[in-house]
Amino acid sequence: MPVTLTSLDDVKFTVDKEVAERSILIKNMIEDVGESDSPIPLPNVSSAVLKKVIEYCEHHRNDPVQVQDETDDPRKRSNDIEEWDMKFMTVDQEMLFEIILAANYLDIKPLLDVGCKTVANIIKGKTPEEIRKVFNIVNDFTPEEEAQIKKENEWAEDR
Amino acid sequence: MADHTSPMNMPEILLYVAAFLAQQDLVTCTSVSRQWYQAFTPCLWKKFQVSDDTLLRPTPDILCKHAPQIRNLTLRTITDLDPFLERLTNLQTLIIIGGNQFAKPESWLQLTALVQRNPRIEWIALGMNREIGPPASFLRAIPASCPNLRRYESSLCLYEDPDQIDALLGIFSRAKEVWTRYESFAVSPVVRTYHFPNLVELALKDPRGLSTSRQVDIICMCPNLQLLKWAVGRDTPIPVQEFCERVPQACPKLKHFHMDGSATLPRESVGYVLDALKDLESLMLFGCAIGESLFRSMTRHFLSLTSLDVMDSFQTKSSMAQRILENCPNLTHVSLALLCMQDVVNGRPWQATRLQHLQVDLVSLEGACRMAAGGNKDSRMIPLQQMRVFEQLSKLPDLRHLAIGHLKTIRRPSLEFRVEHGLTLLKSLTRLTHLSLEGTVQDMTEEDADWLGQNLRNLDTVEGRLCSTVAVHEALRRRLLKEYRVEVLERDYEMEELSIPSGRSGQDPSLEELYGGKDEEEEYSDDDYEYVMEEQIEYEQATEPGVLGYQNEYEYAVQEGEDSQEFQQSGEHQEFYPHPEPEIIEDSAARQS
Repeated sequence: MPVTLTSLDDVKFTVDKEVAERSILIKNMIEDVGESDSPIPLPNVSSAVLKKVIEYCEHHRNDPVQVQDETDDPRKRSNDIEEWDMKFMTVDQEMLFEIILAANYLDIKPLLDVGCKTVANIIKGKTPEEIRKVFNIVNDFTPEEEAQIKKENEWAEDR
Repeated sequence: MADHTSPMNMPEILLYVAAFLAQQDLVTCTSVSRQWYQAFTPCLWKKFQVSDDTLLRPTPDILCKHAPQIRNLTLRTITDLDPFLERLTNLQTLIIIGGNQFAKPESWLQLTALVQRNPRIEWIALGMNREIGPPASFLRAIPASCPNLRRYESSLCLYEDPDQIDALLGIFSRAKEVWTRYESFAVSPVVRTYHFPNLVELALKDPRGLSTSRQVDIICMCPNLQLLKWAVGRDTPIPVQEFCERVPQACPKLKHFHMDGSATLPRESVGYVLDALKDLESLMLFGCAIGESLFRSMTRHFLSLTSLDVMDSFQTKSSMAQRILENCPNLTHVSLALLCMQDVVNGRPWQATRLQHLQVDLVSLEGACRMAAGGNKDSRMIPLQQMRVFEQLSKLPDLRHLAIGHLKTIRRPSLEFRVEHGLTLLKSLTRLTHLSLEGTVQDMTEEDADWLGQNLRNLDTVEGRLCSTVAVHEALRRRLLKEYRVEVLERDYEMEELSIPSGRSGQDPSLEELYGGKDEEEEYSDDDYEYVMEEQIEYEQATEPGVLGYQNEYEYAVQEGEDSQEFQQSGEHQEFYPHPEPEIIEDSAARQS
């Protein structure tokens, strides 16, 4: 059963229903609208990104659907990314961010997981200044605020 | 792409990323920008420990500021914390560890009030010192105030009045998981039928003063029990017949059974118990002597078992380990003792192909002989053997965790992680994250380390000494860390010199030490090593079964039967059980079977 998705820049993608429904947003849309030939508009996702997202969903089409975790995991691992996913995520930072945004919007939890784990791996071991540089973030603290925060979090620092 | 659409500016994404970061990285992230401070601070303060040491503690105003963000709190003291305690209202986990810090009744009033103002608590754990116990009022407050209570853990608490015990059993009536460890009952519970329909997991580890019959009573009050972890005290027989007659009927859903025999159970007892239970999915036998008849009882569960741990039982022969791997198709987690590599080569292919976690003491007797003979004895055989074992391991594509040494011995010849021995066959282990070579002799080169780093892309940590030459080991360690972000860990070198491993001295017992799965066990001295070596050489020539598999003198003594009495009386076995001699407090209406 094919489903047509239309991107922000009006490109149409036809995929199997099973693949499209890896996105909970799309799944719910299909359930609401019922069986219909009309394409599903995704005005928030450009064609380049949608292509990547579809590639992910195709590859993972047979994965068991993840059950929502009720209990809070104390610390999730970020080093258990599958080899295919790792290659898939080897993209420039802009695309990485677009994928995360798309996964968030389309509600594809496993893809959001992989994206955020990738970001976590970028953050690991870096100093604040290095993080600012990588993500182009402005340091908007006053020196007093910076000192205050350092004092506040002293207990958590590794010795 | 404009900055304002960057996911790095979206609080919900930052929160998601935070879940994957270790504490140090969370600290770093809070100082990146104001927005990041807002997003990451709650994650940083989610889990917090109040230590005895006031120097390490944040100031009261900082504590009060962040109290509402704390979800998981460990209290090791309670003095001078009133304003902080009052602001804690969002706890999900509360851990109270100490002894004399909680001796005063006022402390428990404060703790009771704390529980009452935290209705979202799901998990409470207490660790005392056998001289103190929570009063009934505290225990009653728990089920009364915490509708989401899921798990209750209690160690070394003293129960001196029936009201306290009744309140404790009130918690059993509400919680899903209850773990008790080395508790002291000065009086026995009132003889009355309780009902624990919510209990799914129950651990009763040597509750002193509670007769084993009474313990069976409690077990039988849990119709929905799925996991039972049971440890009886030294020299305490288990009421086997009563257990076998009552428990399978009373607990039809029991699928996970962990037995700690403390080495003094008659070996048949556990066998009868295993015969009575049906289709176990997980089994752990600790400190039990596994002879042929107990092994036979284990085989009844081979088709259903997904998890098996017999690492700390003894008399487990290499052939038993091989048979387990050959015949348990559904195993995902297994911890075994000795397995001779030649038995793998000579045996049938392992049916346990879905293994995710494999811990086994893989020993190369041929390698040991080579070392003992001081040269290359029949060196052609060894690489072939190595390759065949690598081949077998390569058929376990789901492996995440592989440990091939014995954690408590001096290093022995085992599987050598060398490309020239067949390491490249492990290419299929793409999911491997943790590799332990601890306890094995390795002689890795840069080529081998590079292979690991380049091909096992998910490898996170390696434990053990990569090469007997310290300088080479260090170089490989640095290379693995720098080029491949693989951490190489090693147990303290000092630990090998000690005859009894020490806990971290000078500190309060940590939660791990109170609640850790394994009790402290013996270390090898040089004399023992020679003994083991002789055994290994004898194996080659031995025709009678039973020589193999002894891991220390104590096990040998148990096998010999008549020696065991002597051994126990000599006092040497005290070393293996560092708990002080318990004062068995008798039930007034003791019903010993």
